[in-house]
Amino acid sequence: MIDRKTTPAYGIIDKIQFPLPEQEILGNGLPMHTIQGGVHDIVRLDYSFPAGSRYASLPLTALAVNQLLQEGTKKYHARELAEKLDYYGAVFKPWITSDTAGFTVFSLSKHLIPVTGLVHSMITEPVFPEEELLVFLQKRKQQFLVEMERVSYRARNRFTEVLFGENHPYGRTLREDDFHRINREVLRDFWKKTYASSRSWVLVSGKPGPSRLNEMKKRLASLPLHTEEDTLPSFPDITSCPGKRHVVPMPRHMQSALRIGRLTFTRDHPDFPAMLVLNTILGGYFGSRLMRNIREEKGYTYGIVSFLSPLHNAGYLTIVSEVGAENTANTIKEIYREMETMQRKPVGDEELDLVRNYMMGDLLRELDGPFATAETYRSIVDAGMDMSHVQHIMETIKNITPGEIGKLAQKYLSPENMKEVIAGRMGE
Amino acid sequence: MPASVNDMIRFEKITLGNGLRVLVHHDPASPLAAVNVLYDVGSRDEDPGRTGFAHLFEHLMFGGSVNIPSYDTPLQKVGGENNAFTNTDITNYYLTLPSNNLDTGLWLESDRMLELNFTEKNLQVQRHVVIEEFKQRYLNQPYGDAILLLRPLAYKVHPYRWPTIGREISHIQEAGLEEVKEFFYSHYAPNNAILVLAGNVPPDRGFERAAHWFGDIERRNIRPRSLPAEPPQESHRQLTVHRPIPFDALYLAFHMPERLHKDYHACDLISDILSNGKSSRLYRSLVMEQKLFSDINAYITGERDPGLFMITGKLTEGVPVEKGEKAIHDELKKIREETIPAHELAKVKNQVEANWLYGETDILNRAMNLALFEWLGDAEMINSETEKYREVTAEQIKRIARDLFRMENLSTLYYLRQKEPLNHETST
Repeated sequence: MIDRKTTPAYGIIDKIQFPLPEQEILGNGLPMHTIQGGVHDIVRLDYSFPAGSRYASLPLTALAVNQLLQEGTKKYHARELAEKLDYYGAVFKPWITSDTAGFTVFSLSKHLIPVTGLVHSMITEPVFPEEELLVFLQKRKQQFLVEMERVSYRARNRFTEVLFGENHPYGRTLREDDFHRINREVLRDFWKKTYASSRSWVLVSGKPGPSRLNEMKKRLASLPLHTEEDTLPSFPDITSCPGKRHVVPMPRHMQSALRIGRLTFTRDHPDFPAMLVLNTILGGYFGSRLMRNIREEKGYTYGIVSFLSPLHNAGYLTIVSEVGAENTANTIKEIYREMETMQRKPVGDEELDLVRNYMMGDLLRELDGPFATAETYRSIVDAGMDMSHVQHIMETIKNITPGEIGKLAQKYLSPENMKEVIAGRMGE
Repeated sequence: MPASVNDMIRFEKITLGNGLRVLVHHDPASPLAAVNVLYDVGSRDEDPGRTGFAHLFEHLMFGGSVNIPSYDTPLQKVGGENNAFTNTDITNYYLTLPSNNLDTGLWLESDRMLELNFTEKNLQVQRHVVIEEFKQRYLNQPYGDAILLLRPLAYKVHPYRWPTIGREISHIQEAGLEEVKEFFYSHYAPNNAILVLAGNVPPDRGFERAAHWFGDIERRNIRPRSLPAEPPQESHRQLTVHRPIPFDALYLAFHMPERLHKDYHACDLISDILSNGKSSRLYRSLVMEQKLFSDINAYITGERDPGLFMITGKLTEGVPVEKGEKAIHDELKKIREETIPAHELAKVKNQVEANWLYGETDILNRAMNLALFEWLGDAEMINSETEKYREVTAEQIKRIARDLFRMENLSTLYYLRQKEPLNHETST
């Protein structure tokens, strides 16, 4: 008979081996990072530009530029670009955050050079054709109006407005009339300032092979870049909306979306690594206190999570859930109860050890292979940091004490400092 | 054959005395191991008066097993992460963990195959959780219930007529403990499961550890499956509903062959011709050129028994649904009547092949695919899958399109805007 009652012996992760990116500043000033490795002959390219939504004076501009680069250039019609990318089996995924924007491209190594040619045409000579712009605006407006019927979307938007203020570049959200204020001139202007900036950078990961990597380097080095730091607007002061609870009434809905949280800090803040641990305990994994209490004990929700959002000039902590309308008030009460418990009672050794191991395992997954590493690396480099940040996080995970976590909870988890957004209804 | 020997997925396979099939795929480059357990039970195996049961059961599988009070805690403690999904055909459980802790994963998975330890309280909570999931994903989302309406329109006899989440909330509400136990013993057993280990696990060690943990679990009598075949549809079916949504939508469902049918890959390629990528026909013609839809998609459900070929689209504001419908039928007519140009056929094949490679970088994905192909009959099929797409000819596409896209093979759902104010129009 085998012993099924006792946990099998296990090892803890002490060190993580991951491919260290190589860095080079090309002749035109563009930083190029490479992470070589993998089994298959495929390549992932990440292009990042200081082209996030905060830098545009009109909402929607940054998104429109990011999406419309692929809709026609001086050399290629939109149809041609799509045809060629699809023919090569390339995947072109534009992405955008508040601070940066860019795209991730997957390509077979054998098609890397022609694919790069298409991508560089999009970066350097987009035309933003009138017709494609109109279709984009119509599509996006419809998507927006559908989103407005979702409790989760409404809560997310209201929450950033409440934290940063409705007119702040980090806080403002899309409105229907924004769709009528965009035109080609606005797009061209924003593109010029941001997609040829010397603050751009590129990451090549996978198995391009030495000769293609060299050719890539040549092509990247010939991208025309300019230094116009002063054309990017500075960061205005944050003025949160007054009041604690903000309700977006959606009376017909059977569930409410909740967002509870507060402003915190950027990724390079000294409390950031420890706060990652605190957040994991509170709501950062399936075994978190919020999940165990509100889903697994009470059955109020399908899921509840908390996470940190580090931005370039600020950051925030959010707790998110969708709950049956009748349980909204009780859920909020339980969330605060969990915060108070973290402030009052030190985390037990058993729970902390579990979280340490879980988080190290998570890092192991995030750094498994060149593509997963590229994903992790991108957000770190975007924040102006390097892989020593990951080392620092690992040291914190290994060494943090219950006392330090308690102090952090007292500093950042006071219910009276939290903002609340409820989209839906309170029930009864 | 795959593009090169490098792209082959190598694995070894044994069957234990109790009927459990064990496959090991060794990838020494990863520090992780993936464990995937597939049970041959899905919502098609449910009683029509107890729909949603297979999925509810998946939730209960995390409620503790005969020797282990909690599934998640010991796994998190060794750096592991897990999840599961249920669909119409199968229930699939998966985890990744540092490979030196493989035993913990096998210990947990084998104990819950051996015997569950559910309590009334556990069942009660998970019923609530699943009901909230039902609301969050289907009832509280714009367009969320379309699939709940479409299945019973397309199927009259086969159990694919209800969705995996269940036909109605009451079925989940009424599920009792005795039924739950009955379901376990008639479907969960080594002789009804496939275990795949992937990652840093040499085959010898993998087989030895699998035999250690799973070898003494007894075979069980699996409830024989005898599902009624869906009789050929004889006339076009149409349903119109009104919902509080901003834009009209259209859903088309054609019956198509089962997963192992020789025409399956051609059907999948037809869906790619219609809507994979920005150069695809429906996107190009109906979104960009004619501007009839803001969003359009074609896909196949890919089920073991004859499934559905779906086309779904949201109409551009002001476009009558009949006009959009006619435009879709015009495109389908082209596929039926004109031979697809060689370049276009090569393009969709390239896309399939490239996407297949991109997906293979992840060991968990490889483990899941191996389990899936073994369940379909033979894991070795994983290495000839892209070749099956390569073999599809233009003539075959035309012949199959003629067979698929017939009015009497079609169910159409008009999902229309109800004349009452939407949330964003009433709120202030």
